[in-house]
Amino acid sequence: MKNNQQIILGIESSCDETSVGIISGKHQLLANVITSQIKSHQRFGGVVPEVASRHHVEYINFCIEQAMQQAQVTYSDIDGIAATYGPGLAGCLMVGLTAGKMLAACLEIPFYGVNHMAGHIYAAAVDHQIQYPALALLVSGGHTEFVFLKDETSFEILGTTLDDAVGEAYDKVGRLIGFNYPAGKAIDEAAQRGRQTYTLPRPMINRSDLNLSFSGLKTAVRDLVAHEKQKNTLNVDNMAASFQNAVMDVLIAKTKKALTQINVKELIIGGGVAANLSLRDRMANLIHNDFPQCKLTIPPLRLCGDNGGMIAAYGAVLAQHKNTSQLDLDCNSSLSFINAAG
Amino acid sequence: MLSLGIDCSEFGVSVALANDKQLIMEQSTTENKRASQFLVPQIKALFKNTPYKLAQVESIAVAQGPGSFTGLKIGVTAGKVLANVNHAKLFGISSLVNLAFPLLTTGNPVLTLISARHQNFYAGIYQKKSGKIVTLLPDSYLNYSVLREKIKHFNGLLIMGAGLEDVKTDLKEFGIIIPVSSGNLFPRGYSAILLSKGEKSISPDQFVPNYIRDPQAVLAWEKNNPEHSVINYVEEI
Ligand SMILES: Nc1ncnc2c1ncn2[C@@H]1O[C@H](COP(=O)(O)OP(=O)(O)OP(=O)(O)O)[C@@H](O)[C@H]1O
Ligand SMILES: [Mg+2]
Repeated sequence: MKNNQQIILGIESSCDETSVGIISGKHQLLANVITSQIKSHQRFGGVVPEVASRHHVEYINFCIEQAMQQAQVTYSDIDGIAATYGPGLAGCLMVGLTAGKMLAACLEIPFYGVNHMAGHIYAAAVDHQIQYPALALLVSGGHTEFVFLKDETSFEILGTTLDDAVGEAYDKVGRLIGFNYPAGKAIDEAAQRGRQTYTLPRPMINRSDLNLSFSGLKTAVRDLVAHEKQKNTLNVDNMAASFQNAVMDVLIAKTKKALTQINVKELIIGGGVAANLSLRDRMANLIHNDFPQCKLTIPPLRLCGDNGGMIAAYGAVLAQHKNTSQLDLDCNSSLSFINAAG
Repeated sequence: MLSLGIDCSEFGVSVALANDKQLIMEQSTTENKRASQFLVPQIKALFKNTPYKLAQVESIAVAQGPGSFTGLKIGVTAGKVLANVNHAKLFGISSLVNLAFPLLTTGNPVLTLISARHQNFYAGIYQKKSGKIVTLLPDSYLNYSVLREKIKHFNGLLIMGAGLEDVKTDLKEFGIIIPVSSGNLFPRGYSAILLSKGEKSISPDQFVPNYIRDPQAVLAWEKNNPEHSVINYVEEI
């Protein structure tokens, strides 16, 4: 399906999904094959890096082949290869990175190393032209941060969690109330059934900066759950609803603060927790009521979790700017954007 | 037949390009830590100043294990991706045989060892007999106490490996110890190519490292779940 647009193949392997996406131009996703290892890591109650990296080796060719088949392209149609080089689990990153560099070397086409978090933001660029300056709220398993995008290629952290990431808090709370890893979706569903009956803190909600904190909230849930279990009165759905409400109150308040402090044309929500129904709902309300001139973009559910499509999407931006990476690029498990606060 | 050989299993990164059995170019470093960084550029560099291109490689031999889990994954991933693009034949070579290769011409039995800490070793014994390599101890993961029982019957044993400091004094009783990287004794990409001749090729999709050892978490889980049924742990979503 080759037209005159550049075609970029993107590879993602930073955690427990092996995934390959193919994008035409900067917006048209032709394929996005995602293999999930969740069932494997559920055996251990969380991702085991050595197990994860072995699965990546097993499935990398499958994902590449399936994606090309879905997109109806052959190797000779591909103009560039993008792969995540960080942040993430080093042993996992190496697999996708090596695959990407090898493809680029063999096909004699440019290689683009992609920051996984830039990928999460650019999931929003699928079928959509982002307006700049933009603000991104990244909410995922390992990150919770406000990122300012002056333009397509500049990322500046305005605020970040000082301890746990939101997704991490969901997973830890999930364990406390009896949900399998990863618990985000299950808590979200339970919260829709339950009511806010438990009192929980909203950490840092009144501070003027854009930093966040979730470990205190998790500890409060732990104590409350222990207490309720002792009395045999724990209502899981209500606990989920109370926890989710506390998290969302903080995220909404901080987002409101951010949008009041800086002028942006668009707000993007990215990362696995962007799949959260309450978050999607409440962000839509916030924008509608308080910032009607700001556009809200939250990627479709499938593009919120880790996927190669979002890596291809940012690879396409790098390609347009001719921002190629050398083939001696190594993975960087703690890769991060520049923090404006230093 | 243009062949590429890769060994980054433990002792460095060695890659070679050969036409049939004729070596064209080989490059080896003893820096194994950075295989994720340098393997691909090192492969690419083989083609500089040659009339060949990477896309012309028809056969790929990769040291498949045992060895460093990380090194194995990088070598295997590079091999299986390239084999898929080129429709090349893909061969997995024992990294212990590849390590033994330069000593096999002596005709002596050769024990190769890769240390896996706490006196545990990946070990294999091979000997060349009338032009054929025979396996006397198949690639295994053994504690030294078990290993020493298995090797005591051999005469004229040549022992090559690294990380042997703890057991050196005892090990000396059983043969001559030759450290890896002394002279030209190290596992080479070129010998991986030679060892692949006449072997059975494997489908790139199925190609995974021969780790020999399961991750600790899996061993523990299997111990606690002896009756688990085998399911597909990875699925397309
Ligand atoms: N509906 C939901 N509500 C809340 N959390 C969710 C929902 N769906 C998924 N999550 C959470 O999203 C996280 C996974 O997101 P993602 O895959 O982006 O994280 P990651 O890739 O592990 O981390 P990072 O992107 O920071 O490296 C998990 O913690 C999961 O519980
Ligand atoms: Mg992620």
